[in-house]
Amino acid sequence: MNRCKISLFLLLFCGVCVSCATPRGTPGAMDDIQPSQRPDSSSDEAGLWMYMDRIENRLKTSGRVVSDPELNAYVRQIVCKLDPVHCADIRIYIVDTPHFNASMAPNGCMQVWTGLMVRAENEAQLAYVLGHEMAHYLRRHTLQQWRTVRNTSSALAFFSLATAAAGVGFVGSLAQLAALGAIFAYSRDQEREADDIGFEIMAKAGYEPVQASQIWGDLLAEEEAGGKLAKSVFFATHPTTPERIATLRDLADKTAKTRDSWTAGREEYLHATKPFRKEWLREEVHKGNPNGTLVFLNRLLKDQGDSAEVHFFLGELYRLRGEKDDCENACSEYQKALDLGNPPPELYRSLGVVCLRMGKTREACDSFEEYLKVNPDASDRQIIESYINRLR
Amino acid sequence: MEKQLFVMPHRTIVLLLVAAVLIACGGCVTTSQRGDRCATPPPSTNVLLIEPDIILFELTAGGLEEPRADWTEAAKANVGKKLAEILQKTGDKLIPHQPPVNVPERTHTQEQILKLHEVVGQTVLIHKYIPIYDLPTKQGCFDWGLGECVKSLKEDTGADYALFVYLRDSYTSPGRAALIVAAAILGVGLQGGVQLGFASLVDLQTGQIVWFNRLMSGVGDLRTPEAAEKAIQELLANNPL
Amino acid sequence: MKRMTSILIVLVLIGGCTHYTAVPAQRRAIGSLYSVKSNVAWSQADEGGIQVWTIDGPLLQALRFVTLNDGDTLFRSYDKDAKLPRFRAHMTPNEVVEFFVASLKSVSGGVDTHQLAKGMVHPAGIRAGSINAATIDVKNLRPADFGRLPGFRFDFSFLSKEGLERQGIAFGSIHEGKLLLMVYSGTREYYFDKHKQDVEAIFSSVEVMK
Repeated sequence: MNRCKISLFLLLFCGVCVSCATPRGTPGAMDDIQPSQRPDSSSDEAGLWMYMDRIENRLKTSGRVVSDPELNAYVRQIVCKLDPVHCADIRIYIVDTPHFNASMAPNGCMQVWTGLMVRAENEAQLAYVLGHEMAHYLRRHTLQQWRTVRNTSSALAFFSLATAAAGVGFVGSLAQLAALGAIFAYSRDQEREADDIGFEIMAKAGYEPVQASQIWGDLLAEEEAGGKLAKSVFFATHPTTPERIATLRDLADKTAKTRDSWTAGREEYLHATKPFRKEWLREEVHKGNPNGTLVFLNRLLKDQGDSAEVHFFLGELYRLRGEKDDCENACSEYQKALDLGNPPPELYRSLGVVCLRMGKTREACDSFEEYLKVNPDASDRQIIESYINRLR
Repeated sequence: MEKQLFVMPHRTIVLLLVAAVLIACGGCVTTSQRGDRCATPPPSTNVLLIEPDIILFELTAGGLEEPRADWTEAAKANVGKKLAEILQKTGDKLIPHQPPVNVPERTHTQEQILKLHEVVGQTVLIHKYIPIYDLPTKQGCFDWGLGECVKSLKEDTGADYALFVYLRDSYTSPGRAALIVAAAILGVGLQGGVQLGFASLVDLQTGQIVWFNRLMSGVGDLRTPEAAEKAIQELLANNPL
Repeated sequence: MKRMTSILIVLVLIGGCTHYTAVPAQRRAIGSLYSVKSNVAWSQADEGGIQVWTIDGPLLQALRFVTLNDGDTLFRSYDKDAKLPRFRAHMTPNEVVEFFVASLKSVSGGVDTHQLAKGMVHPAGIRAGSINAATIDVKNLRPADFGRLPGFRFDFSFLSKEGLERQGIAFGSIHEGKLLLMVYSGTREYYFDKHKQDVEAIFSSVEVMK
């Protein structure tokens, strides 16, 4: 291609780009979303909503939405406490996946992942994260992101990543998370805006401000311990640094002075989530991120006191990690759980498997027999019996 | 080389790639398939029209396919209307499918039927239209179906057949059209809009696909009724109704 | 031309193989360790060392024959940072189940091939495509004879990312430090059941060599 042609091409290209620079919306400040508002059908916002509607339909039939009516009612009343005006436009989906995330799509679809719910220590912590996401929704940040990105080469990935990240079993590879972050990461301005509005909402509802920095700080500590593998979807889209946590704490201090008493809602929260915790912890341990999970489980012990259930899951973590000394580590945790009494019945099967690995065939046999005694209806009875028969 | 247990690609990518290969191969228009040992439907059949799975995209200057809500709604309306008109000419009655209300099990089964049809369509596109992927077990025969689960559609509606339509279409924005022209002047090829789709007619008594057709062309505009007519005529070519 | 090449590469990977050959209804060796006999004919392809049998197409139903050594992963990933679970010779069948589920979960991230076709992502990202990892469910782990060897089998089910229900059976044995596994899966509606009896007949026909 000679120079003449190249410059002609570039001229045309620029001309074309300028002429379509203002089609249906430009990045920049925009109005808050109003209750019951729907975008005009020829707008780019409508196109975005249509795609989000499709993702929401997929989410509904994904098989991983927690449908328990009481848990859903509990989360809904938090959302409506935070914003009684907009909460009728918001549809809440609790998604069963051991990753920490909450999000709101421009069409009013809110997702709360159970990896977040198992980590929140009280109602105020969950409320803060939800309020923060609602702020992104109210200020239409996703539409802003879309407008910023749509004329760049990153535009191509926007919808495919939105689909991938839509709670349908998203387990991000590093490359995918990097792409997600590059496109969907809220800007510093957007985060600041969401922090401010999130705090306003939270404080108005009476939730204790310091809980905001608490939950993010805990998550950051976990991610740092977990290394590269522990990068979360949440932090990919909400870039967070220790400085930001400090800012949140300052904001909390300022806000705290505006009222005499605040609620954290710890008892209510633990009560509402109690029926689900064991299953959420089991998913957590099978997530495949032992270093991060270790930090989380130890924090649980500190926060909620010694628990046979948590020691059992620590044992599972070591058993599945299978590094040097992990057999001994697992045994030690199972023993602590046994000492505390009333451990989960699967403990005996896991103990049997670990003893087998350590060559302690008699202890293995005893454990398997105990498993069957404690679990008369075990669905894997036959296979455990086959182990016992072969060991004898 | 990899050891791989399951290879189940993301749905639309399969079709877009099939389209791309066929375009690259010089482009073909439509070729339809008839199911084996399938009787021709009698005149005046009741045909259930499953809601067409259609998305229309705008191809922006940056090369992005941006979904357009207004175009998609228009296309669904045009396609539904044209299908009804065409079938009326042969004396058949087109019944639009309404998902059952307040019967969760039935709704669930019918949702699975739709999803199954999509994967069967992908399978046909790969294994019947691309010679290197021919299956020896399907040599010279076309006996794909959806199984007995379709009976629930027959029971709900009384229809004897169901017509499924799947379409993806993208149209260049003015900006991109200008770019394509400019690039053509300079001898650089840029991809324009692509249209891809398939339609199938399923016997609701046996679950067998009695007729299948693939649409692939760069012409036809589903946003307007007149131009949509041409695309639908091509899609329904050689159907047995 | 470059685009055409990358598209063809992707198609090869999608299909998992370049072409299918016929498997007649007769006894057939699977590697050097065992043989099976089928009562019906199948189409067979080779996916990087794994034999895949299908009648209606691998997206609809497929029977796969896997043999792993100690330390092998079930899948291979081009993502250097991915930490895939490994089979260990000391595993009990319970642990094989955990390994199976963890392996499926670790590769089911999947990447949209839109990016792939534009040359943005490595082709391997497409392969484990459409499994919704969070819906994998395993039931009914029980002992089963793998020919003359003690073995096990279990049932599993999961949803694709589009919500299509799929189910399967895994049947295998751990023998001399290797995992011998046959995995049959299909869509819950119609295609799994369509050839389940034929697959059960194959399972019963296992003859371990040597």
